[in-house]
Amino acid sequence: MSAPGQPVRLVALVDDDTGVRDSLAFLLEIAGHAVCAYASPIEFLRQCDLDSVRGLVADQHMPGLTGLELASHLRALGRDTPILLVTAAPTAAILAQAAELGISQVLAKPFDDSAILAFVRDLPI
Amino acid sequence: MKTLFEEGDASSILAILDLAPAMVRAFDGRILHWTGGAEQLYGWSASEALGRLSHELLQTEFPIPLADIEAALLSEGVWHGVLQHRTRKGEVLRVASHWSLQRDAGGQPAAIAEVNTNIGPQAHADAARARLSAIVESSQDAIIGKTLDGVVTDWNPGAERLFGYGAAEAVGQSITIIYPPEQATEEVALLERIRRGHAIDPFQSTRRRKDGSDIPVAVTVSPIRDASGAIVGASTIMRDLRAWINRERRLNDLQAQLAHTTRLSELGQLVAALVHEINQPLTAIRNYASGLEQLVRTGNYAAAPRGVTGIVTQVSRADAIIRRLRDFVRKGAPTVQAERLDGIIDEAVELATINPAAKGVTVNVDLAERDARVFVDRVQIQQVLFNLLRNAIEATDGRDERVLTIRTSISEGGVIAVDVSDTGPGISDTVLAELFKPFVTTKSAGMGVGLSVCRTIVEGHGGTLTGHNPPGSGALFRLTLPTEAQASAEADGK
Repeated sequence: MSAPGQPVRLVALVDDDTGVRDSLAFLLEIAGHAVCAYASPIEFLRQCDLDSVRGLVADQHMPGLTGLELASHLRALGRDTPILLVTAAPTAAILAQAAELGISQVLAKPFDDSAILAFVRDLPI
Repeated sequence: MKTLFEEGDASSILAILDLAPAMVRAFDGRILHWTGGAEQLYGWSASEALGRLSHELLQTEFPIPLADIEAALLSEGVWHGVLQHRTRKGEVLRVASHWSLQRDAGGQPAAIAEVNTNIGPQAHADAARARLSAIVESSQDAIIGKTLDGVVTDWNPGAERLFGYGAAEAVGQSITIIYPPEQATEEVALLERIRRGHAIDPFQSTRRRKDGSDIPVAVTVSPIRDASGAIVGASTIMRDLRAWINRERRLNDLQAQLAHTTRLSELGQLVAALVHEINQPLTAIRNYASGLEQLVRTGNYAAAPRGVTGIVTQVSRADAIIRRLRDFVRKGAPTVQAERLDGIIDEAVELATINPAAKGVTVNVDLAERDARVFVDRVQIQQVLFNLLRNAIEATDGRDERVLTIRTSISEGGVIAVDVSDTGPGISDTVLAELFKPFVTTKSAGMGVGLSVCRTIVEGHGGTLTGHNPPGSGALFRLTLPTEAQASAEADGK
């Protein structure tokens, strides 16, 4: 939760599934977080001011770029943004790559929303 | 002693004739000439045979009294018949014997030229007859002889086993004892054709056993002719088709089971895709519900409608997924009816693209006629399209351009074709050769029964399924289906 007086910084959501994206935005907004949501990694990279992003919740399976590819891209840009990766099938390969990219957490769908809430709550302001 | 051929003027002809087993003897039987062929056949040399009485030397047994043969010879000049001779070694021979009477200048009988052709020992003929008889006796098939009036004359043990009547019971009876009453006219027609000398092609029919049960049989009927060639009766061979029909039925059941199993294995893959797909609305519902819970706790309902609407939308979405799955699983008997092709295609596309592997795939549907109808079992044809689309999706995996095109066209004959093409690498030559054979697959996880079952399904509908690589693109599968008009035209024609 952002403390009063602090500048508003955003939690970015990138998921191509409208229902998942909108519901997650709903949940995080009610929890008091400012959220910006994108339907694809490309849209996110084009439209989002990366300086304003506190943390990123991204789906792994998306058209264009995968969640891991997006993370890799951010790291290449020198961004150490905390990332939570959501995937239907957290395979060993995905977990290993996620660890390499310094991804904080990998959640399997359907996930316990308290895990996401905790991730967002613990983000640096 | 004077022989008829002591002059050498026809020596070359005689040399050839010498190869034939022949003799010339006086009317009283004394041997005057004995060929090399005769020596070879009987074992006696010319020097041993000449001057001997031929019937003594060869211990001839005649089919009719010798006097009758000689009478015939004197009146006709020739006689033909089968004789039994003994060789020097004592072996019994059956010979076809041709006698020709030679008369002297005064017209008096002078000599007999006799040419004998070995037609095998008596034992051989007997054994052949015995073997033939044993074959009939031991045949699994029913072999029945009957007169042209349909009276049973012969009834082998196979017939006893098949129909339950003993030979003693059946012989002398009308053949119609083994007919179901409603089929007795069949026999009249059969006998009529046999009488006219027509051959009857093997056919399938039903016969009744002594116990009253009816059995399916394959029937072959052929005319029996006597020595003069006149048709005197008919032989009927009947084979019990029960085991064969059972096997056919079992094979059909197996094929149906295979189709069902394939559907189930597809179902397994579909379920994996559906698990993913249904996780999405479940995840969303959970998020909305958690948010609403938070709102309830704080008493701030301003944002509540968004959450409630979200939940309702996502529940409908999950419901639709489950309904599609249920439609796919439903097996039952195929129900063929007029169906809109566009609806079938749309649903198959929807099912196939649920798969996460289909992400990034563009599906173009190009219909020749929006509301064309085909006469098919909707679920089965959807399954075929689902297979083709899924294969196409897999084929484009990892390609820059992932486009599937479904194009329909209607030919002049009213046949509708559905082409499913992709931008994949195409079908390799080795696979192309065996594309529709079962258990041929390019997929590491596939059983390779998909396309063969697809073809079975399509052919069952009177359609065709073919695959090739058109120039400049990936694979193209063409499925043809009967249109409604075509199917009803066929039904009227029956």
